[in-house]
Amino acid sequence: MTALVILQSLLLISGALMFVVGSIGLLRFPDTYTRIHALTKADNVGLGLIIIGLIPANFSLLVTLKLLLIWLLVMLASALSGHLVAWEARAKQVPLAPSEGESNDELTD
Amino acid sequence: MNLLIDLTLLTGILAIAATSLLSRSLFQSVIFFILLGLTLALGWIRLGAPDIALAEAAIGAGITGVLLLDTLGHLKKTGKLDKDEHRPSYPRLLLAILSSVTLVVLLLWAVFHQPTPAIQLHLLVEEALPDSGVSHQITAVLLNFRSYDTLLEVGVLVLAVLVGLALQTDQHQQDSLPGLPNPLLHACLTLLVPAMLITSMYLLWAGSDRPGGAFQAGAMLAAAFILLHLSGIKLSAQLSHRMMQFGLLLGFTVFLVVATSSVIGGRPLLAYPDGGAGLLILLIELALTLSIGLILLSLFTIANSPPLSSRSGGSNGH
Repeated sequence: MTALVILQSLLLISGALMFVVGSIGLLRFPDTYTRIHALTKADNVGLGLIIIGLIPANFSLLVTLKLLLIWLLVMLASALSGHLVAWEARAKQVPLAPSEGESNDELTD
Repeated sequence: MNLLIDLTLLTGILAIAATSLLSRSLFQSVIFFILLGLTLALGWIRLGAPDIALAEAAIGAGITGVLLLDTLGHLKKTGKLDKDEHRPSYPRLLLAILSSVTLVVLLLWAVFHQPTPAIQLHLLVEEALPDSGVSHQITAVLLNFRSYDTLLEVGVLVLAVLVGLALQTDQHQQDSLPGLPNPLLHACLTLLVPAMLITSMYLLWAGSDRPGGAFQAGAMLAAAFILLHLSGIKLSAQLSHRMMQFGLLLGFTVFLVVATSSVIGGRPLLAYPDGGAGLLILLIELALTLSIGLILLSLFTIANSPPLSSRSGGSNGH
C-alpha cells in the first residue's frame, strides 16, 4: 500500500512541477510562439501525470473514465487554442523574438 | 492541510481581484476577471456549494468573460477606446474606495451579527422535498417553493435581451464578425459541439437530483452556440428572425403558462398539481434551457453589431 502512495505522490508532485515549469516558460520565454510551446506541452503532460496519480485513490471505473475524459478534452482544447493563437499571431505577423543579445521591445502578448 | 488549501485559495482570490481592479490595461483586467470567476468557483466548491460553483463557472466566468472580451474588441474596432490605459479620476477613485469599504464593513457586520433564524428553513425544505417533484433541494427551491423568484429572474433576462434588440436598429447587419476559416477549428468543432450539447442536456437532467439545472445547461448551450458563431456557422443567419424571437420567449412563456394555468384550476399562482410537479418542472426547465442559450447568444451577437456610424457605408458584403 505504501509503495502505491509513494508512486502516487511522485506522480502528483512531478505533475505539479510540470505546471510550474510551464508557467515559468510562459513568463520567461521571449515571444508568442515559444510561450505557446511552453504552455501547451507542460500542461498536457502535467495534467496527465496528475490524473494518473489520482486514479488509484478510491479506484472506481466510472471515476477513472471521467478523469481520462477530462484529460482528453483538456488536451483537445489546449491543442486547439494553442494552434489558434499561433495561427492568429502569424496572420498578424507577430515577429519572432530576436536571437541572443538584441533588444526585444516589440514583444506582444 | 485543508486549512492550507483554503488560505491559499483565499489569498489567490483576493490577489486576483486586486489585480483585476488595479490593472492599467483593460484587457488584463478582463482576463483577471475571468480568472477571478474560476477561482471563486473553486471557493464555492470548498464551501460545499457545487450549485453556485457551477453557475459561477458557467455564467460568471464563461459567458460574462466572453461578453466582456467581445465588448472590448468592439470598442477597439470602433476606436471608442482611444487608448488601452486609463486612469480613473481622483474623486471618483476615492468615492469607489469609500463605498466598497462601507459595503465590506456592512457585510462583515451582517455576517458576525447574524440573528439565530426563527424558522429552520433547511429543515422545512427537507420536510417538503418529497412533494416537490424533484429530489435535489436547490432545484426544489428554485422551481417549486420559490419559483416566483425564478419566473421574475427569467423575465429580467428576457427584458434585457429585448432592450438590446431594440437598440440594434438594423437586423440585417448584426454580424460584423467574420468567421475563422481555420480547418483545425472546424475539425475540432465536430467533436466539441456534440460533447457540449450532451453535457448541456446532462446538466439539465442532473438538476432533478444533484447540482445542475436550466441556468447551467443554458449557459453551456450558449457556449456551444457562441463557439459555432465564432467559427462562422451563424445560428442567427440560419434561423429566421421570427424563429429566433420565438426561441427567446419560449422559456418565459412556458413558465408563465404553467404558472397561470394553476390559477384557472382554482389553485394559487404557481402551485403545481399533485403528482405532476416533476414533469412540469422538467418541461419548464427544457424550455428555459433553450431560451437561456438563445438569450445569451443574442446578447453576444448584439455586442458584435456594427456601430451606427458605419452602417451607412453599405458594407453588407457576405
